[in-house]
Amino acid sequence: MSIESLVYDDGVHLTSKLMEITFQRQDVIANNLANSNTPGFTRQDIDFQDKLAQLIDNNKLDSIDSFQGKLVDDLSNPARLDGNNVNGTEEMSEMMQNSVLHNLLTRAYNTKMKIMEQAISK
Amino acid sequence: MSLNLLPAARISSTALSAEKARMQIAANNMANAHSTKGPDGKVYERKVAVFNAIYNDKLGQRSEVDALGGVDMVEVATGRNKLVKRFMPYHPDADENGMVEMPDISPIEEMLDMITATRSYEANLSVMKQSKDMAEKTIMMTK
Repeated sequence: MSIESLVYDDGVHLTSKLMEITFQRQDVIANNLANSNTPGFTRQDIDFQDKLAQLIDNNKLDSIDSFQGKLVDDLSNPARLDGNNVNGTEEMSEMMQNSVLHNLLTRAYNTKMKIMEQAISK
Repeated sequence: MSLNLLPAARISSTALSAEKARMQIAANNMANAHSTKGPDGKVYERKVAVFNAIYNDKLGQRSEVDALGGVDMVEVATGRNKLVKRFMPYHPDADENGMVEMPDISPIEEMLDMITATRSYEANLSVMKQSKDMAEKTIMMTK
């Protein structure tokens, strides 16, 4: 086993991919909020959960680097009179959850590196 | 797209400038509530900001999210040109009956616009703050 596969294992690949997705989601949520007063705008989101779960279930984590979430229009909210369906409160809470997920991912990566560090220095 | 350490900074900044422009328009409408003569000699007309979502060119972008471009104020439209007439015979712009034409500006509408603009500005500002926190966390990942 090479040292590279020891550090950059499936978990790290998954973490970095999820981090990329949290960054993209931040973009999408910012765009939703930026357009909260644009008539006719439909809120968007990234659809990745099902596809990612499939990848994990089928043990295909080696192909995760090419994985991309899909940008979808979210029509679940009722539209206002001007055709816009962005809800400020909801976007804020989505953004908060997204940022917590990002914190969690950095923590996970951090812990992993700490474990490695301890194993090496023993 | 170059180094994308700070997500959504560009998107949020477009929103901030759009909301700022809306605020300026509302302030200008309020300020001109009694303007009877503009540079063109006509009565002031109420201005309305028109917002539009912008999308970047998808070509060469890594993912479709990079195409999101935020919001842009595409035009300052002239709203309804309804005028109200007030009886002010001492006014230099009064007609033979002593009536002066003034723009029909409702302070309530302008206030409402200002409040929405302020709240939207705040919301976008906190998105920026959150994005900055995310970038900081990423930089300090191995600390």
